[in-house]
Amino acid sequence: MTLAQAVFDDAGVCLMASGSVLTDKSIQALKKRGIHAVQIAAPVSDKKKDAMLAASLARLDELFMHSKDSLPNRKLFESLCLYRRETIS
Amino acid sequence: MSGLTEQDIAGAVLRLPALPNIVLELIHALDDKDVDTHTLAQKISYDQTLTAKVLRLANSSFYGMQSKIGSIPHAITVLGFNSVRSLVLAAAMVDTFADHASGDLDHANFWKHAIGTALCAKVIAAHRGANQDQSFIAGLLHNIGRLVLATCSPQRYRDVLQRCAQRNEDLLTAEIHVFGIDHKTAGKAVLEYWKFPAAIVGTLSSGQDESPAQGDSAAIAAVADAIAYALDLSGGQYDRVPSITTADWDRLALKESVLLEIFAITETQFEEACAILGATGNV
Repeated sequence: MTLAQAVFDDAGVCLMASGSVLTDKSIQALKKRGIHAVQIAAPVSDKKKDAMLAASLARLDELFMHSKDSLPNRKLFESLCLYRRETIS
Repeated sequence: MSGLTEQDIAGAVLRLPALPNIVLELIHALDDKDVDTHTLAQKISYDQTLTAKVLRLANSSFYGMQSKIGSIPHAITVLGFNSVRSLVLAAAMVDTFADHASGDLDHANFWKHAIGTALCAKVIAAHRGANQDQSFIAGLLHNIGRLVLATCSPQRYRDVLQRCAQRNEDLLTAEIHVFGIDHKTAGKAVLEYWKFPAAIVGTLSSGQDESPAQGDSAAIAAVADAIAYALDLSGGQYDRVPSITTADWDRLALKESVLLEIFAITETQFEEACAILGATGNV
C-alpha cells in the first residue's frame, strides 16, 4: 500500500510523504503518534499497470532520443527502465 | 543570425529581476567562514513570505524532523546555517522570477526541473560524501542561463524551442545555432554577476578538467541534471536527457542499486518541495 497524501502531525510536521510505502512498522509508528486513518492509493489492475509501464517506457525512449549513443546515458536509461518496472509492477 | 556578444549577455543579466538584498548577502557569505549567522537570521526573518516558505521546507519530509521548527534561528540551530541558506536561496529564486516575462520559456516547467535537479544533486552529494548544500544550490542554478538567453531575446529563444520541437534538435545545439552560445556560458555570466563563489560557477563546466578544490561538484550537477530530465520531473513536451560525459559518469561511479535509491528519494521529495516553493504550474 502506498500513501495517496502526505501525513502530518498536529504541529504540521510531515511524518510520511505522499507515495511512501506503508509497512507494518510505519503503520505502528503512525498509530503511536495518534494517526489512525490515512489515504492510500487505490489498487491498480494488472491491465492498467501494463499500460502505465508501456507508456512510461515509451516516454523514456523519447527522453533519451538524443543521447542513447553515449555509454553513460545508456546505463542511466537501463537503470531507469528497471526502476519503472519495479515501481509500476 | 549573429551570435551574442559579451555585452549582449551583460545587458540581459541586468534586465533580470533584482535579487533581494538578503539573498545577495547570503550569496556573498558562501565563501565566508566567519559569517555572522545571528544577524543574517534576523534579516531573513524580516521577510515573512520567505520565512514561511523556508520553515515549511524545514518541516517537510525533505528533512524528516521529529519536532516542529518554528523560527529561522531555530532552523539554523537544528539544520545548520548552510542548509537554511540553501533553502532561502531556493525560495527566493523561485519567488523572484515568478512574474518575470521571458518569451515562451515555461517558468513552472523551468523551476520544477531546477528543483528536481537540486534535490537529486543533494542526494548524490550525500552518497559521495560531498558538500550537500553546495550541490543543492549548484543543481538549482544549473540551467539559470536559459533565463538569461530567454531574457536577452524572447524571439530567438522561441526559435530555439521551435528547432527542438520541429527538428528534434537537442537544446544546447539549438542554442548555439541561434545564439552562438549555449545556456551554460550564459549561466556562468549571471552567477559571476551575482558573485557566486568559483566553486559554484565552476559546476557549469562539467566534463572539463576540474580543480581538486572543485571536487565532484560539477559532475554531480551534470548527472543530477540528466537524472531530473530522465525522471521526467518537469514533464515538458520537448524535454530531452542531455548527454553525460564519460568523465563525469566515471568520476561518480554510481552503482545501479545506488541509482535506484537516488531515483526513489528524488521522486519522493519532489512534489512536496515544488508545492512549498510554488513551482506547480500556477507560478
